[in-house]
Amino acid sequence: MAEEDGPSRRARDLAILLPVLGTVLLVPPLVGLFARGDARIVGVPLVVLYLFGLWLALIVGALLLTRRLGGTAPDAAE
Amino acid sequence: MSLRDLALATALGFALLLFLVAFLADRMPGERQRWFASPLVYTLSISVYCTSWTFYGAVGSATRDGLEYLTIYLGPTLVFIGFWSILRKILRISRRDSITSIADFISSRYGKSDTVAAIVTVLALVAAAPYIALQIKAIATSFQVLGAAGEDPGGSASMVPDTAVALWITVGLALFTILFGTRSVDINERNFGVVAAIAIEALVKLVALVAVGLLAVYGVADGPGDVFARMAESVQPRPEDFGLRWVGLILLSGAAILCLPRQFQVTFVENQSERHLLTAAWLFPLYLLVLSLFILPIAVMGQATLPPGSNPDMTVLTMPIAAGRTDIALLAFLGGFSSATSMVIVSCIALSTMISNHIVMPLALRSSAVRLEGGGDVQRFLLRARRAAICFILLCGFLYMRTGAGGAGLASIGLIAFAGAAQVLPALLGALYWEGANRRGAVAGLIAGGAVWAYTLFLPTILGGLDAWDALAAAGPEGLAWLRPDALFGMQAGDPLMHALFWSLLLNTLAFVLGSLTRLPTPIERLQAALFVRVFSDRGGAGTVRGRAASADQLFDLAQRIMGPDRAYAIFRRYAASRGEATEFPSVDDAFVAHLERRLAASVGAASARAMILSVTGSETISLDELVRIADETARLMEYSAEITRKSDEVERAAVQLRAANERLRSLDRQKDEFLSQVSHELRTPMTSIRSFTEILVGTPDLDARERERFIDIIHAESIRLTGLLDEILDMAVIERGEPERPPEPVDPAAALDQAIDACLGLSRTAGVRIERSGAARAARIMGNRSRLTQVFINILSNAIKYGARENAVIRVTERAGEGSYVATITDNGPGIPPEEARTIFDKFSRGRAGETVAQGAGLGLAISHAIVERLGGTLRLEPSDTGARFEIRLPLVADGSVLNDVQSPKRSHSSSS
Repeated sequence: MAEEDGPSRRARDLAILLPVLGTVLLVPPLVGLFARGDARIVGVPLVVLYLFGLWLALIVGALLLTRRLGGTAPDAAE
Repeated sequence: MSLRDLALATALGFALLLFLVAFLADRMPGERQRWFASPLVYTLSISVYCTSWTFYGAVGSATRDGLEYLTIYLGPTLVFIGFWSILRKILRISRRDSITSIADFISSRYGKSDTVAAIVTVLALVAAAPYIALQIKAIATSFQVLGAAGEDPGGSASMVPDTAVALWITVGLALFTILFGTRSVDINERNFGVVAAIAIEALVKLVALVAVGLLAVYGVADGPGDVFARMAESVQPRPEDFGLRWVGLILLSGAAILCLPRQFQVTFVENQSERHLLTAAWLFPLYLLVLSLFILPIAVMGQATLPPGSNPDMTVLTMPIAAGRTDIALLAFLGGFSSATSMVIVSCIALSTMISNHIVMPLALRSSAVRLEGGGDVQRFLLRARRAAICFILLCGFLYMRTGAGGAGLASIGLIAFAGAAQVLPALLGALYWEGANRRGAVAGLIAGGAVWAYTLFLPTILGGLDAWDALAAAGPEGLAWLRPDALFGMQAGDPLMHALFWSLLLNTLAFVLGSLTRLPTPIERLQAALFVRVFSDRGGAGTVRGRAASADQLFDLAQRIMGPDRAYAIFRRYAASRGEATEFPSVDDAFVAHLERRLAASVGAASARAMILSVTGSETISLDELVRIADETARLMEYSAEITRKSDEVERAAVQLRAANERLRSLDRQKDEFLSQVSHELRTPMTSIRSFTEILVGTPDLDARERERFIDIIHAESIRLTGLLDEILDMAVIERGEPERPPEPVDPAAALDQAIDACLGLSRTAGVRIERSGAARAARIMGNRSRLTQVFINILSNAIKYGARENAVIRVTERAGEGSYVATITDNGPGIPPEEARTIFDKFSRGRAGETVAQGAGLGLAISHAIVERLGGTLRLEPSDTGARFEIRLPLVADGSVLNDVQSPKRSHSSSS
């Protein structure tokens, strides 16, 4: 693949894997595991904590990735 | 001043503020404009995704269906954190090709087809109607809620939006959008002002919702703990919430963030720099997270505190009113107003561009309502078309709201629009990743998906309630139950949305794939496919289309009609300058025509731009070079030609071998003929002699005794010669056929050689040839037949005597034994054997031409010798020599007597050269 130089192959692979990982974690059956019963942590339903926690983790992951990949995008404003 | 009047005044004041911002942003000098071109503004403009649906509807959704509302924000989150794969690719292509809309993008990819663009436009327009209706309904309802703040604090759930209010809102939105979106005569530049205004509205949405959320947590409830404690009785999550619908909605919202015309507009068309995407990739999901986070307590507390029967879609507004916080209620109203107006503005800009570029413009070009050559201001025509389109879009939204569908919850209306927009997804993904996808597939998929969506989801919402439709829905069209709109093929999904989504996307994708596979793409489709799919690997930029010729004046005339004279002049001038040409207009070549087409495409879309350019330049051809390059056929061709070369090499070799074999066959045939005549001649000579002498003896009885005896001696000698000749031929036949002779026995080759030299002495003396013998091979033993071996030596020696030198002839005989072999060489000092004869010298019937005159044998001597030596497991070769012919006889030695008995017959390891 003739991709432009810049970010390491690992960062590019991670950039492709991150949404895949996020999807797997967000859809059943995994998400259903956290909704069984009335499990709560500090009064918060477990699945609420799981969803928002995962969401935040994905955002942080994306933030870190964009830092790594930052060198690639051409800064061209016409 | 009632709360409602106050809200109206606030809304008008806010609108004025937005105009001011937009005005300033557009008029600012380039330097400061950069501020608006920041990644933050870009991200905020993308959050136009969050409309009234989010602002009001998400709380209603959370109240009704718990955590399901999160799916609408998780889908876009997944798409944005996966920006590297899809978003970046679309963005790169859009920027390169000056794409104006999603319809333009799709049609560009599928051969700049105006049919595809028109289908996408119609689909987007139909799908937008519910979405716009949702906004109108939300603003109208919010006004009514504020107006009824005194008597009905909860806002009745059954409250139907007032038609008059809704109509005024629709008119207001139309004016607002026209002023915003089509202010500038210049339709080519990016809308700095609009983007800036949208960004401000995004901030207002966020601040307002967070404010209401904080009020819910700390004003209505006693902190987060209280909220979660009350969650048990309202939005308590259940495992069954996370089923098929959860997955389907994530997919749907993920598709919507890519396919909605307004999202495409802000994310790709208005984008200022590819770098901005790196910020939006995480900041936009964060924006969604924060909004979602505060929606939860509002829903929980709204349900806990507001009177039963309240409209859950208006909780954001009614809860602050109920709590007595008019200021926050006003802020909430402003937030809702912002959400609705920003959505309507961007949607209308995107859709009106699509309508004017892909429906009005192609029709006008065909009906010659717009003349490209002479007369008519295309620019003004386009602008009018866009304004009319905006009014039309809002009218559609208004009418949709007035139908039965208007009574549904905000979120469910929005999902209908999402499902419609998602029908573009297969064509969009195919455009990015599948080079084989073509126009027929795109058209088939879009029509199939759009039709199924309309039949199963859209039409039921507007026609539901009509007797004719209800009857059809219950029994199926023409009584075909398997075609019932809510149970296609008998599938009782129970969830109309999932049912429609499944069938529409399935049939869409199937039609898309099958359509693409059943037709070969045209050259322009292949070119565009490669330019899209391989946007990152093709460094050459846009491909070139050749053979389009026109004068610079003609092109300028066209350009100035679309872009206005100043802009057109600037483009021509700049291009000429960039080429280093001192003239006003650049010299027209393929590159310039392509450049101009791209600039025009930025105004009117790729399909129309291409049609316009073609109207001036005439037909086009895509150069073969280009096609070969894009299809990577170079590699394939090279491989193919290498294969051909390889094959032709093989054929060549086979032909050479055939020729050689043929040559040999001919030569053998010739030899055979020669031999037959030779043999006949050889046999005839003694026979003639015998016959004639016999006749003399018979015919002359008075012959004297001395004479008679001499004749009988001659007859006897000739008979012996004849017998010898026949023996020789028989020998040959026997040896050739490989028939067993006597069993082999140990033979001393040196003794055989001695015997042969003795036998040849008479002959050599007569010919005056000297035989010199050197070397020694004492006690060497080979397995074989002594007389045969002797025959070999005699044959070679006699040949050497016959064909050797005429004067001072010397034959050198050497022998040696060692390393498992006995080797004897016999060399004469004659003229030698010419190379062309060396090859056939051991063949049967061959005889040296040089010796023809003195030939006495049948030409079988060497052939017989060769065959004999082969049968003994040795070799007889003609060795290269400086003078004369040199034969080498090499025979395997027997090491000692003990193994003698094992050697039954000599192996035939060497194949004869004949």
